[in-house]
Amino acid sequence: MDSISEVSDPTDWLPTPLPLLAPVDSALRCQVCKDFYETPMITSCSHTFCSLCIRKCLSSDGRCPACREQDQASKLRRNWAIQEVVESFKTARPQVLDVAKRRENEEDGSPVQIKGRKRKWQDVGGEREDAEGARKAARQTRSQSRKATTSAISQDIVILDSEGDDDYDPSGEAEDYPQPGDGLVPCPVCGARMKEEAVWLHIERCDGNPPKKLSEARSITPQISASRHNRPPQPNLIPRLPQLNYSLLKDGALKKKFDDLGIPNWGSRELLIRRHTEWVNLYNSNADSSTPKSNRELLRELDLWERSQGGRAPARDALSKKKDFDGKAWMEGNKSQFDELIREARKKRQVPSKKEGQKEETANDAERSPNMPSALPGQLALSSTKKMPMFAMPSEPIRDGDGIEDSTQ
Amino acid sequence: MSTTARRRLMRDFKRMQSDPPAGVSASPVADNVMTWNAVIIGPADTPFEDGTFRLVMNFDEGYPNKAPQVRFISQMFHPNVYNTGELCLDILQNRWSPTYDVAAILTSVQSLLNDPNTQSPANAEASTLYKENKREYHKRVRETVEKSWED
Repeated sequence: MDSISEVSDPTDWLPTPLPLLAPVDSALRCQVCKDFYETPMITSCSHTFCSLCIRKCLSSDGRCPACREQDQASKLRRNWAIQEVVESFKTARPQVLDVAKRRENEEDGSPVQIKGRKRKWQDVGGEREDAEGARKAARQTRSQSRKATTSAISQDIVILDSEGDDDYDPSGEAEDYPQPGDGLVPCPVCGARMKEEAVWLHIERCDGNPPKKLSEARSITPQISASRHNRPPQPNLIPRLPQLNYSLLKDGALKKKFDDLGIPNWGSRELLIRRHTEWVNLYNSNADSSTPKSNRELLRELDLWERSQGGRAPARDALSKKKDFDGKAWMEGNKSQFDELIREARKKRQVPSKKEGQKEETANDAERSPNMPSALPGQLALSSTKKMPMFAMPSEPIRDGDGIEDSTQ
Repeated sequence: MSTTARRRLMRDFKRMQSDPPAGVSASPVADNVMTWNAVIIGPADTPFEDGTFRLVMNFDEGYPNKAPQVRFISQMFHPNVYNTGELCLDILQNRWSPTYDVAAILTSVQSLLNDPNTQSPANAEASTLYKENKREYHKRVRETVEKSWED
């Protein structure tokens, strides 16, 4: 099993000073597997998924998992643009996350003191109270997040910009860009920007070469352009396997097909059909890929399927499905886990600022159940008496009539 | 064995840890990522308010193409929950989508609490009371809420 710390997730950005990258991160992930798109394919209804994910969905129920529109695997088309974005984002991600985390540690809760950029930095959400808003922003829809993307990128630039602090000297490259109104002046020899009083000291030892400070940041750029020019996604020439009309094939003919394909042909007819479907999905998604795997690798994946879902899968023990499942015993056996879960679930309900907390709750309610039935008068009266803080488990089971005055204010 | 289902469940777990929806929590049992325990706190301003309802979720290797099997193990009184704790919820049956994750399932169940569907009752008595005698319905629900604190 993968360790949880190795799993990357859009929420990785939330505790950093760059929480607005969470929706960007999320928009580059497949909604089915929640990982970054692998061989992204676009459906007839213009939704994008990993090739294997969407092929599996379509072969199981013939509908787009996002909008339930009917579609067919043969209509899928590659989405190269997304693939390029994903690949470059994946390359940049660890570095950006690392910088963001380091910045967060340095910041240590105090306002960042970067001359001339302080205001912008605060806009990023450096203040703690912005964290909640940022988290909400992270849940915005993708179209909304497009706006966020733009601002997140500009913020990103601001942060890279501020790396060098007072001694920071953008090199000659800076000449290509509009010069920032940061109160710095360029060195007449090498063009690096610095405080006015630092120029004279600098000129004495200036060798005409831009300072090395930017080398780290600069090294990223060539890599990105290289990956774009050296390795544009290329269609491979592997032909797709056709779907079979199983009802037209007798067992013998079906098994013959399996021999031709080089996949195992044992098992019941039902199993053969499931195995063939899986193989077609694996094979065709590999054919979609710009970096296809070997046939041997695909057979290994089919074998993994065989052992987890196919003919060699262990007998299922969906314990709670059993008729004689003893919920009470289960509850007792897992008491400490449930106690912990209750603490966690309650924790999230207590929002530090009362006003904000209420705002969030209504927003969530509206989101979850737009057609909430109106409560009866009796219900309303009762629920208003219930408006008490959630901080502790109630010690008394009956709390009717508690704190009406306090809570309704 | 790192299968699609197990990798996805690790992601679901990470999400539940780092940004859980309000009033729900869930984690896999110690030795098996395919079985999860979950808690839903009854939503405020509903008869279920403050209840600590416990659930078990069972996933199989078909997840997320197949819905998990979800059931309450706390005693419930709700039109769409059977006596066995099993749920009658469309998104766990014919309206399932592979885009749902643990967080989405739990928020759906949470909103089902105060928004029952009386078209397909799983508990006829709860459904009738909900439609015809709200006061009694409310009382019965509060009993389960109080019971949930003692579990």
